[in-house]
Amino acid sequence: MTPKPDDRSTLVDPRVGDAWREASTEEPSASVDDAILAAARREVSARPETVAAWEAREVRASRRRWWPVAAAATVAAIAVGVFELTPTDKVASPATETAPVSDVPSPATKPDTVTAAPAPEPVAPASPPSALLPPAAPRQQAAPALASKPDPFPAPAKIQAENAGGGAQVAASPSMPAQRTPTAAPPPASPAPAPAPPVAKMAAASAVDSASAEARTKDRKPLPVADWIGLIRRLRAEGKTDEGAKELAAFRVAHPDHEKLLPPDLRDWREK
Amino acid sequence: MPATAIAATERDEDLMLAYAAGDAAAFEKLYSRHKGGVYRYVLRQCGNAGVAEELFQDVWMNMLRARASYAPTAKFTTWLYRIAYNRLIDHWRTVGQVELVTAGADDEDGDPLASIPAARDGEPDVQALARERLERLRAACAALPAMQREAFLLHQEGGLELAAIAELTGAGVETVKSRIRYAVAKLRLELGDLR
Repeated sequence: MTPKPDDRSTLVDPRVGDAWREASTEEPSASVDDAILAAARREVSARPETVAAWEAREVRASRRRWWPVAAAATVAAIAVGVFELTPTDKVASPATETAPVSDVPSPATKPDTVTAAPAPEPVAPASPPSALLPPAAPRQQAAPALASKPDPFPAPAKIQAENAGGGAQVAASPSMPAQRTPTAAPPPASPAPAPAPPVAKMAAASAVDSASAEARTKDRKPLPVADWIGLIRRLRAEGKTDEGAKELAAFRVAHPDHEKLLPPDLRDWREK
Repeated sequence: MPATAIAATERDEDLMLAYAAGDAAAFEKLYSRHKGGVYRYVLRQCGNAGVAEELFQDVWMNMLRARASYAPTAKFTTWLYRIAYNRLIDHWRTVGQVELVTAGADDEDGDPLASIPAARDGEPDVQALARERLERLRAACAALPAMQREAFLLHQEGGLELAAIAELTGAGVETVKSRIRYAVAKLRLELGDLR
């Protein structure tokens, strides 16, 4: 605001006016300036916003808000994935790990069957456990006994060694899901269990049991007669008549003179 | 700095309305234009830098709080210096001084220049150093009667017109004009004394 020149020229002597302006050099301190300007900004920011200003601010805020959420979700997903893929050997029961070892039948004497063996069909997780496991005994309790139990289907040492290596290779893939285990079942008599979560390990072991039983009745080379008959009797005694019948059928196919080889109790036995 | 020295491309009233609508930058411009005048007005009136800063800050805070009630029916400077004037009145009431509360207490009659003594002759000009001149001018202002000083400062620092000062102080326009003339005459005498 500037006063009218006429007022100044009339009221204030120019010499006085000039001298006064020369003397008027005082200013408030910088701290006072800062305090007042800060208060002015605060007052403005505290006032009610217009709808347009509010919408614009919300749009800007929403753009900034989803970043932390997306980052947290990504981190959580990665953490879950890493947890799922982490081997759980330390927490898994040794019984569940060793259980498949003894009940997986040894393949035939040909070493190439270890690696080139056709993958068995996936078996439902509810399939019965291995025929060699006592049905009444829990797996965790039965496993140690089975570990020391002599293999009913002994294989040559060389094949066993190769099986051990091949099994380790298959089992060494910790990322293998449980449902994929049957299709990529480890070679029989693999001493190295697959490091998988306990639940997946149980399902895999069950699948291996059932799959091996099927393989036994299909493509497996003939077993020694005494062992095979013993296996059939054991299955029947354990109530696994289905598997026993399959074994018996396979025995009949493998031995055309089965009528002579089979004992009387098995000769006339048919699956109910 | 007097308001006349500022090249104002935007009217004070528009800036104040912009600030009331939320534009903080508008306030910064207003503050930059008028902080010097308001500060010196308060400083010359109270005579103490510390108190002046406190009062000065109060003036602007009161202005911030009253921004919503601002209406450009009057000039911004009139509104701003009214706030400053009221704050000074409160200050003097608080400290027990009533200089400005009683209007007309120091009004003088007749020709203001007639009562001013003639310049003292024979004194050397060697003392006419700039600093001393300024100090004596400030001292002369401080020595003015309160109402004269009030009118002079509102006119010189705030740039208020006679009518605005009259309205602000509750005096007549002619009275205000007389006060300013007396003040200027006394200051001119001081300057002449320094020649």
